[in-house]
Amino acid sequence: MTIRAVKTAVSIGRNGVGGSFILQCQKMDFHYCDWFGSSKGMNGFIKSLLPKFAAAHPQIEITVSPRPNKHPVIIGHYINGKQKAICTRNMEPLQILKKVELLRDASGEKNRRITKPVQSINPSVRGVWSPYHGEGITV
Amino acid sequence: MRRLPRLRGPASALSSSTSCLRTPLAATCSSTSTTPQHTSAPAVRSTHVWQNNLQRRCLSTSISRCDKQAQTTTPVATEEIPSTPAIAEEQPAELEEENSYYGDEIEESTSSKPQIETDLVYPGERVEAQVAEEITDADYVPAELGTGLEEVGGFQDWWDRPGHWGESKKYVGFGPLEKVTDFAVMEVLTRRAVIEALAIREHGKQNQKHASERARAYHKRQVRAALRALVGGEEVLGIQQVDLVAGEGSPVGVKDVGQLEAVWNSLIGNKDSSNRVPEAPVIEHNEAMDLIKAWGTEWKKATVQDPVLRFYIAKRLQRLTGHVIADAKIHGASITIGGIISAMARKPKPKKLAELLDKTGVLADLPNVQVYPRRVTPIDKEQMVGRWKLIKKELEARDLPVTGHDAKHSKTVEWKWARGES
Repeated sequence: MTIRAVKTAVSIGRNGVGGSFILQCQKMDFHYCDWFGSSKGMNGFIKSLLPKFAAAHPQIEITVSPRPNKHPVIIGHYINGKQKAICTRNMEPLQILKKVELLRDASGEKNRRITKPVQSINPSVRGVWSPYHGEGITV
Repeated sequence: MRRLPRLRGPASALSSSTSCLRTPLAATCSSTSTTPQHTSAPAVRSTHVWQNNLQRRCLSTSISRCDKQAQTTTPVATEEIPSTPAIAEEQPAELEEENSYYGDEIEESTSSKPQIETDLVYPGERVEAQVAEEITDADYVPAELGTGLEEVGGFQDWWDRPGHWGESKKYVGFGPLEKVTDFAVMEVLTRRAVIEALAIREHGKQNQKHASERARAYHKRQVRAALRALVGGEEVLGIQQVDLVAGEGSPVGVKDVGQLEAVWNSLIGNKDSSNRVPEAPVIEHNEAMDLIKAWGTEWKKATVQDPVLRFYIAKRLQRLTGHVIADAKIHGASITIGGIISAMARKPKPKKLAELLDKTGVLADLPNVQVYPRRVTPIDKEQMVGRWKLIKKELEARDLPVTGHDAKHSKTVEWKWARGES
């Protein structure tokens, strides 16, 4: 039997904490139509802005394919196996760039309402601080 | 050819009784006259009233019959007929029906007309198959149903069949079938077009002295032929050697006006080629580049102010290169020869984005980008991961449709219900 370290003593890897950050967005599909007017901005984006974006993000696989007679759409594929799609009909190229950046920065998780200012998956050893414990604070 | 053999021949029908032939007319004439003599008269007497096939038939092939009819007509009828215009209006429709019965006799009369020379291939004589009783072949079994029998003959798509539509009837375009795309060749042809246009204009100036209508019409025809002419061989070299006088902002011209006479002669000498489709220019790219170097760039800065000259240049360029220059561009305020070249030499825009990306190559160098020229289908996606062959094999093993739906496996149950199937 091999010797194993104590499980509790091993730190769980966190993306980007003390190590390399892996972008959660793996792949992005760009769909456009040659005929639809709503694809005008998307076609311009693919021609002018996509080459720079693709060169700046070599870790993202990018596919460009027509989808005839449909509105333009960007589909982001994430490491957790989920997808996010954004319709970009009638958008300008710079507006589309914002959406592309949004998909790039997304984690792929479902959108959830955040009610607390701090979220952590590591509960503090010291517990929640309370003003009524300890030596107290003189005001 | 008579279609109904049981009917009597038209000659006998006519000779025996004209009233039989004219029966439909009786009904039409009844509104104006009730006497039967009136109805039999018009075919003979009213040669000035009717102009139709039957009348021509009577006059051309059966004069004796008409004479007989003339003898049988009464004086009363001859007097009354010109005063009944209703008959003249109603007769042709009735006679058309008769013509359909006596078509063979009308053919006789039309055969005397001069034949029009044409290269169209007309359908031949009508051929009828033997009736079943006349066939002696013991193996012959008459079909009881028409389904499955081979269809023979017929005139459907007759003119679309090879060889039927005459060569002379085919459309001949003004420009070559394929446009010239080589810029160097285009530039050489533009210079040639300018020289030829100058020659045509110069000839026009000389002919303006002739004020007669006939001379002007002749000149117009000559110009039209010159604009369509296709010059080839060594004559082209002669045209290209004409020296242009051109500088920045100055109107284009030639050093020696006498040279234009030779150009005009070469154009008019080849006017027989005006109905031919122009072929691709014989000049090669390297040859054109050498000529462009020798000519320099000054000649392209010359302006073309004369609207007539602009028109001639545009037409000659269309004939030589196949490029149509828009009127707005050729008739601009001040256009240079270089402007004409650039208006013509604009590359057509790619119709599809994928073509443009392929052409520009902006995404080609990026290893993480894949551009597809067509829609990526679910089958494509399966093929990309190497699963499609397996899926296809399993579908076939289960007797399921590989793509789409078949009769057994329709889309939904509701689809069957909608079609009245249970």
